[in-house]
Amino acid sequence: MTERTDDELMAEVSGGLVDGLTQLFERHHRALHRFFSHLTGSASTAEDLTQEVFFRMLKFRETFQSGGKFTPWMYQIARNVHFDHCRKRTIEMPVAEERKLWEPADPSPQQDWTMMRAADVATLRRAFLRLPAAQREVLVLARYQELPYDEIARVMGCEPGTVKSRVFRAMKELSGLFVRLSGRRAS
Amino acid sequence: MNCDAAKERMSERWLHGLDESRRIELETHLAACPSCREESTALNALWQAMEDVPTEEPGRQLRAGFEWMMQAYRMGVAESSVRKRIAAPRQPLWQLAVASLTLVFGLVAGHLYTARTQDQATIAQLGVEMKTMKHLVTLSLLRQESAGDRLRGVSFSESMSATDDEVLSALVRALSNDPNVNVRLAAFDALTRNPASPSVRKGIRDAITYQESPLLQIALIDWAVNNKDRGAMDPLRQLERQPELHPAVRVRLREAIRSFQ
Ligand SMILES: [Zn+2]
Repeated sequence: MTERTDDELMAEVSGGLVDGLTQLFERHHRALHRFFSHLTGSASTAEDLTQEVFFRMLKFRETFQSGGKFTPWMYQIARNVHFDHCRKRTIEMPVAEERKLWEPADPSPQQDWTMMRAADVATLRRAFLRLPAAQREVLVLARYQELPYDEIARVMGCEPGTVKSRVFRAMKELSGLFVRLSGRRAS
Repeated sequence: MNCDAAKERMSERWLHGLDESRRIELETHLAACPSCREESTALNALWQAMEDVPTEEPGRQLRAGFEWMMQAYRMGVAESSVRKRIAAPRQPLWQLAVASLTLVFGLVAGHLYTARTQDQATIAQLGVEMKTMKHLVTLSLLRQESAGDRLRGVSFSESMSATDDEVLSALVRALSNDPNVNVRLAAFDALTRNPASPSVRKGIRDAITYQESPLLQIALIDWAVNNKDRGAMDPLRQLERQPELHPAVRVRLREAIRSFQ
């Protein structure tokens, strides 16, 4: 028996045979967890948000159109979940936690940052978390989820060409933040 | 090739790599354009470095949560009540608790079923046992170390047809003392499910003065307004005097106080 594709499984779930969701969970929960970990910088928040995505898949299963593509649909849900999370966070938490995330880096201005070290990775992570949410999303999709441009375009609802320029702008922004946080100059 | 096209091409290279002719076009531009060349070197290094940002693997909690959710969905018994609750999701942990409620319910029911076949107990006795069981499960969950368990306890309290006094005071305690904001929110939600007794009312009014979470403060203010609870006026004024209120809370609070006047 051949393995069913994600699209076929989700079409079944959408039609009421929800058991297929278990297999989709097996295939995708790690990727989603990685997506949210990079976006939020917190593994436990990532677990909550991943859980929420599967919950919404079940709840809104009928919005998946048969013949549709599962992965972009899943990431659209994930982006909505992230959006809701960010909105809630601005009321609930930011003060203490973000101060911790953004504490000043140990500056070592003499070095050229094309050579990355462990401390730089931590700084890079902090710089990343300071990017606007939309830039973080496009970068995570491109860099960590390794989605092809046309799929990213479908997730973000734009043209593939636009994705390329957004990725570039986000990288540029990230590099600026990194330089500022680490006190280094770009090579 | 102009600079804009070169930037787009760099971005393309990061993700897909470039074929021979596209690569040569880009390199020709870089050779002639120092600013793009510098940008390309720096950003390539950054792209590379992003590889080193570690990610943690998801814990067992995630799978357990998913399984609870599926279980809750499948169990026709509690489906209607779960669906009603799920229609207004507050936040993930909370839903997990809702879902797990059904699981606990199933376990208890299973236990009782075994008990019945062994002891030939009557239906009436079963009813009593079920009630005691729910009571015990709720109270013991509310005392657990993990916030997830306490949330489950709060959810479970709602499956009891008539919530008893002991459970109500455990919920009031959770609202006032629980260190986890999700548990406090859930406890508040559970308390407001039934018309408030005088002691519950008092617990909620007290909470207005000392809860520090803006979400909870807003929920409490709304409760006072919706219940036209004039007795909440003093606590609301007290809250108003706190210097470090979240702006959203202050706005809501002013509206509330105005609505009482
Ligand atoms: Zn150029």
